Amino acid sequence: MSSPDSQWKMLQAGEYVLGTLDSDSVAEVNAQMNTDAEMRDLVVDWQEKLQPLAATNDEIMPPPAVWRRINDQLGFNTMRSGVMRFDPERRAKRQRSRRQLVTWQWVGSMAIAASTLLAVALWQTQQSRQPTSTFDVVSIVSDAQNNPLWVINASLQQQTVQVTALSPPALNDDQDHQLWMVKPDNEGVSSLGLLPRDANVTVINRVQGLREDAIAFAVSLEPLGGSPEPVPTGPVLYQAVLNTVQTPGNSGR
Amino acid sequence: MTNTSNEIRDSEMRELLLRVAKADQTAFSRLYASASPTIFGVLVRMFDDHAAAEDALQEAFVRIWHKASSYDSMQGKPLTWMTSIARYHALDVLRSRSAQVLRDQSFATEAERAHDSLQTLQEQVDDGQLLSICLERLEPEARDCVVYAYCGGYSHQELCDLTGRALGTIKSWIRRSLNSLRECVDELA
Repeated sequence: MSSPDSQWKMLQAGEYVLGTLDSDSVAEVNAQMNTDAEMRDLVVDWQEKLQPLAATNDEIMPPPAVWRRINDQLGFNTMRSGVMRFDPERRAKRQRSRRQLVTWQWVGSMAIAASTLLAVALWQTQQSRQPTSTFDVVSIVSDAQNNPLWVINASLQQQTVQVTALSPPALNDDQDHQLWMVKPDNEGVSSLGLLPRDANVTVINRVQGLREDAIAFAVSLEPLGGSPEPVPTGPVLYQAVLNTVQTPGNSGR
Repeated sequence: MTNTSNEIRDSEMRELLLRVAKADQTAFSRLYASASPTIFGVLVRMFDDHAAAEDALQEAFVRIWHKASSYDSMQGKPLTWMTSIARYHALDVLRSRSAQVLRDQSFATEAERAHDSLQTLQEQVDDGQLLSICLERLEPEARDCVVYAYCGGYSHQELCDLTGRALGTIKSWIRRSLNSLRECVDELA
C-alpha cells in the first residue's frame, strides 16, 4: 500500500472503525464499502486489529429484561427469559445487579403469588402426610402464564433435590433444562442438575452446597447433558422463589 | 482467554450465526448468552450509562438477527462482527446526542480507564499482546487518544475538550497513530 489514494483509504477505514469520523465521512465510507471491496477489506482488517481493545472491558451481564425486549421486538413468542452470569471482580456492580434481581423476583413473585401459595399449600399438605419426609424447601417453577411446570423439593440436611415435572415445556432433542441455585450476595450460581423432560416424572439429584439462604432457583435452556460451564450458557427461562416448609424444626423464611 | 479457547469460541459462534441465519431462535438465544456480556461491557464503557447501553444492546442484537444471513468469514471473526455492529450503532447514538448535550467528560476518569485498558491488553494473548506492543510504541498522549476514541466513543472534538489539545493536533495524532499501528501490527503478525 503506497499510493496516496490507498493510504487515504487506509486511514479513513481506521478512523471509521475508531469512531472519530464525522457523520458525513461515515456516510461516505458506508457508501464506498458497497462498491469498493478494498475499502470493505480495510474496515474488516481494522476491526480485527482493534478488537482486542473491546476485550479489555469487563464482561457485564445484561439484565434479563433486555433479552425479553429483543424477543418482543422480533416478534418471538417466548417465555420470560434472560441470561445470568456473575463477574467476581465487579463487586459494586454485582451488588446493584443483585438489588435488581431481588426487585425483579419480588415483582415476579407478587404476580404469581396466588398460584404459587396455593400450590405450595397443597404440596405441604401432601408432605405432611409423609412423616418421614425431610424436605425443608419447596418451590414451584411456573411459566409467564402462571402454569406450574415443575415442583422442587429440597432437603438441606440430605443435600438432595427432588424435582417433579408437571407440564415441562417441549425441548428439541439436543436440549435440556437445567436447574440452578442462585446464591446470596452475588456469589453466583450452583447447578442442581437437569430437570425431567417428561410430565409426571420425578428425579432426585444429590447436590453439594445447597443453602437455606439461596435467593432463588433458576432454570436455563442448555445443550443436551447440561451446561458445559459452571454457569448457565443458555438463557435463563424461569426463576422461582424458595419457600421453607413449616415444620416444628424450623420457623420459615 | 487462550488462543485455543478463542478459536473454539470463534468456531462455536460461527456455527451459531449460521443457524441464526436460518432463523433458529434457539441458536440466537445461545449466541446472545455467549456474546452479550462482552458486547454489553463495551457499550457500558461507551455510554457510561446502563440504560442507554441496554437500549443499544437490544438494537444491536435485533440487527444481528436480521443481518446474520449476510455474515461470512470475509467479514471477520463472529464476535468482532457483532461487536462492530453494536459499536457503530452506539457511535451513531453518541453523535446524535452530542449535538444536543455535551457528555460529562472527566479527563482523570478517562485517563484511569485508558490505563486499565492498556494493562488488561498486556495480559491478553496473541492479538491483544500484539496490539499492546504496538500501542506502547506510540507517543503516550496519542496512544491515549486512540484508546479514548475506541473504548469511549469520543469524537475528534470531544477528544479536544477532554485533553485540552487543538483539533489539528488531535487529528494529526490519530492519523499518525493509525499509520504506525498498521505498520507495526503487520510487521509483527
